[in-house]
Amino acid sequence: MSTKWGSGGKTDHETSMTQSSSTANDQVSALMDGELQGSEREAAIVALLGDPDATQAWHAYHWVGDALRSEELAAGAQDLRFLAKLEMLLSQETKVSLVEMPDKAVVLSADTKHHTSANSDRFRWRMAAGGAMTVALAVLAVFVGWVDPWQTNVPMAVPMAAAPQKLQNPVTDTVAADGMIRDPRLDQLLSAHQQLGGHSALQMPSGFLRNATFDAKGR
Amino acid sequence: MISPLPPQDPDIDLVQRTVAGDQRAYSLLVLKYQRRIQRLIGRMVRDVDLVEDIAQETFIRAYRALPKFRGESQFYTWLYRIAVNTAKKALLDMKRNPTVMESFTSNGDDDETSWRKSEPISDETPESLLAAKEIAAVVNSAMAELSEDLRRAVTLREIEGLSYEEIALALNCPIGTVRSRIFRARESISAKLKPLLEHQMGKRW
Repeated sequence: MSTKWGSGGKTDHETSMTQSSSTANDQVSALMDGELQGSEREAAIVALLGDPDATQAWHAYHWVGDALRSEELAAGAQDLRFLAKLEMLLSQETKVSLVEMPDKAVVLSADTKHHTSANSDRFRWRMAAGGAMTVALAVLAVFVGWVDPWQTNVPMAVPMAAAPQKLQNPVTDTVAADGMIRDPRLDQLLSAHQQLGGHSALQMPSGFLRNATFDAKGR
Repeated sequence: MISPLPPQDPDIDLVQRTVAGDQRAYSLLVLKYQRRIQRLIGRMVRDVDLVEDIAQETFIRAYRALPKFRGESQFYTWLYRIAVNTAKKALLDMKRNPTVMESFTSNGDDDETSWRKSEPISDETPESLLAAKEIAAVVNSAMAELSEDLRRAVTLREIEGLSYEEIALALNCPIGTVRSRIFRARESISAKLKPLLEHQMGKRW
C-alpha cells in the first residue's frame, strides 16, 4: 500500500486517524455533559470503553473541569497511579459469580465423590456439579466479595471474562485421569489460598478454610 | 420547535455496564470521581496516606455494592455516602490516633460543609500542594489563551453548570456550536496538562 503524504507532513492515514480521534473526543466531551441521546450515546459509550485515546480524553476533560472549579481538585496527576492500585486491590478479590455457574465447568474438591457413568457426559457433569457447588459455596462464604476483574498491569484491560453476577465466557474445563472435571482457574485460586495458609483477604485466620484447603499434589 | 431532551448523566450507563461485566466502565467512574472523593475524605482525616487508603476502600466497597445501586439518587450522592461511612469507620477504628480528627467521631453531622468549621485540612505534602497549584496555574493560563467564544462556553459549562441548551440561549448560537466550542476548549486546555501528567507520573495512557 503506497503512502500518500498530506498537509503538514502527515500521511493521509495519520490525518484520518487524527480526525477520527478528534471525532471520538468530541463525542466524549458531549457524553460527559449528558448531551448525547439514543444511538449516538450508546455508540459513544462503546467507543469510550474500547479506545484508550478516548479514555484519556475522558480523564483529561474531567480533570480540567475539576481544576477549573477548585484548586483542591487540580492535583490529578496521581489519578492513574490511584487507578492502578485500585485495580490491583480488586484483582485480589475472588469472583462472587462462582456461585452462579451451573452451566459452566465446575471444580471437584477432595470432599466430592465422583461417580462415573456409562451414560452421557452431561449426566457426569451434573453429578460433579452438585458436589462441587457445595464446596464452592463453602469456600466463597469466606472469599465472598472478592472479584477478579482486571488484569493488574493493564489499566484499561480488554473486557473481562466474568461479571460480578454472571460469567460471560465459559471456563475451560479438563477431565483428569480419575474422571473428575477440573477448572484450572479455580485450582489456581485454591492453590494460592493454600499458600496463604488459610487466611482470608482480611488476613484473619479461618479454621474453616484450613479444613477446606486444597492440595493439588495429593490428588 | 421541539425542545432538546434534558441532559442524561452517563453514570448510570457506566454502572450498568460494570454490573454486566465490563470493568473498564468502573475505571471511568473512578477517574471521574476519585479527586472529589479524596477531597471529601481529606476534610475528615489529616493523614495523607490514610486519605488515599480510605478512598481506595471507598471504591472497593462501592464496586461490591454496585448491583444494589438503583439509580434513585445520583451516583455521586450514593458514592459520597459510602465515602463518609468508610471514613467514619476508619476514624472509629483509630479513635486514639493523634493524627486523626477526633472531633469528627463526636460530630453527628456528615455534611461536607460542616467540617470546614473545624478546619478539616489534611496535611498534604508540600509537593502535592505545589503540584495542585502548578496544575491550577497551567489550567488558568490555558483558559486565558482561549478565544473569548471558547472561554465563555467552557466557563458556562464547567463553572456555571449550564446545559448546552442554556448556553446556546446565553450565547445566542446553535447548540451544535456550543458543543464544538466546549470540546475545543477542553482539547486546548488538556493539551497543556498532558506534559505535566507524564512528567509527574512517569507513565502515560
